[in-house]
Amino acid sequence: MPVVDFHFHVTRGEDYLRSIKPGLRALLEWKDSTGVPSQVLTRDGVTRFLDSQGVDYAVALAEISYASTIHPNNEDVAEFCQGIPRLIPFCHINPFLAGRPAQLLEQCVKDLGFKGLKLHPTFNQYYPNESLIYPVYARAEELGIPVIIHTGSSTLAGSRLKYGDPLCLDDVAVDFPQLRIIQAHGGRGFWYDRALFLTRLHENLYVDVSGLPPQRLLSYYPELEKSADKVLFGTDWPGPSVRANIAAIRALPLSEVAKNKILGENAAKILGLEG
Amino acid sequence: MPVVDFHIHPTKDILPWVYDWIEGFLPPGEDPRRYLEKTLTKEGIVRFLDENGLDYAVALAEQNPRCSGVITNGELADFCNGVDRLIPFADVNPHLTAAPARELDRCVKDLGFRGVKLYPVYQLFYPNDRTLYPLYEKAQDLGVPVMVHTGTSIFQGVRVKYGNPLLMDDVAVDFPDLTLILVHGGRGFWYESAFYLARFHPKVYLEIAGLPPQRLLEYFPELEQYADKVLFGSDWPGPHPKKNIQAIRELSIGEEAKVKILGGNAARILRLLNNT
Repeated sequence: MPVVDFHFHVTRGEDYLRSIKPGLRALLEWKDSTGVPSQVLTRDGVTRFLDSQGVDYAVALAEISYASTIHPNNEDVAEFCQGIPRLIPFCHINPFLAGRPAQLLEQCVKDLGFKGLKLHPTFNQYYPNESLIYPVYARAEELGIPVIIHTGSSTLAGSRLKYGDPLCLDDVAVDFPQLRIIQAHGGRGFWYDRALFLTRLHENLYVDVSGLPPQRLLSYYPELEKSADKVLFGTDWPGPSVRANIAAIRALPLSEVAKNKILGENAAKILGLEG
Repeated sequence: MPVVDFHIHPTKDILPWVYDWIEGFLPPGEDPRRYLEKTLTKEGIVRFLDENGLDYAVALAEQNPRCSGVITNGELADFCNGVDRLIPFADVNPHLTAAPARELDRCVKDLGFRGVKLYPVYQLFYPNDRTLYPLYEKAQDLGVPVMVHTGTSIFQGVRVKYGNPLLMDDVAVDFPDLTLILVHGGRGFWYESAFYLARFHPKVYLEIAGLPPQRLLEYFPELEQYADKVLFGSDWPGPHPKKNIQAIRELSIGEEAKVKILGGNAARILRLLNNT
């Protein structure tokens, strides 16, 4: 059973830290010395890092969000991930910067080798059920790739919470029944209940628990065990420590079967990975 | 009185359909790429101003990667530097910065910009959205005018719903000391509401770039009566100013109104003359 981190930013640490709202910087755990991003984000460094954290695969995210200051673009992420099969690259589309976002997605998948898409409505400032982004969903469904969509709160400057309500994804799940949609951060803040409810309602919806303190998962999702097929482990690195979060999930009062699903089996299915 | 073109785009990095548009205004056979190459130099642009009978032109930054093209604020500042007859206006795209007011402040104080243009239909936002309000407040404080695209555009990817001039009524009411310029005068099907706003709000102006000047009286029957609120602009390298200036000189309105529209009002707004 592989361990998969479904939410891993290949963003330089300096850039990442700069974009955190000053008062909230202390929230991040920078104590783990192996977690210093500029050391990790080299070709050898990242493999060593994954080994040291006990991770087999990580979903590596591009993010084109000038208004919130983080912007590793698709080309850079594609290049960084090339030849590192343990990194699964996901491209990012900002519908305000691409005239033909669906076409761009197809290029990213066919020419640059991306395996999935990340959308960031709260950074890019649109409702994820707006018509503006619908052609992208249609193309992703056609291409058979999964889409990660940020839901819930964020500590980064320039983020607007109103675009993060998971309920918007009910429309998307209904309109694109074959599209696999991952609600990143599982509705973080005050939408945990509806994020998980949606995964029960729609076969094609999942949550990832990145950026949530794993030891508290059962208080957010009391029915986690029952929903274990629809929950994906992720860290939001370079935020929290990957290793510590895996250990915290292993320590939860859940069945081994559920833990294995959450830590990697579900992800392996979605990503088509060899166990 | 000087002749002022309130609307030119010195943009080189443009999308394919914009070349086609430019080509339509050039003599048959002239290549739009070569035309821009030779005109968008410091010598070329002065030659352009002279040939078109312009004393000044407002040069616009644009950061429209979806619909038209990109010349950033920094690039535009460099282009205008040393050419006193160009009046640089910044562009603040709310999807490219989390701090629109700070970006405007930087453009005005550090880069010497004299105003800002917003492109709602190209950048997809309602101009009365609260995200823009800090920018309007800053512009009012700094005393620089804000141009806002209103009405239609023929470029791909444009969404016209953001172009209704009535959206600017909110802004005019909330920032009564801010000079607002309704670019293209509500082109297409909002001439009446754009004209109404310019008539009603003391600091709101109508700019007529991209409209066929010979038809202005059809769009704005009371043009002469409100000539204090109307600004000439061309939208070059689309329509060329020389021809459009001539067409305005031939309109059946008084000489005084023509002089105001062609530059008198602009000179006042932009403080181009020592005694204004």
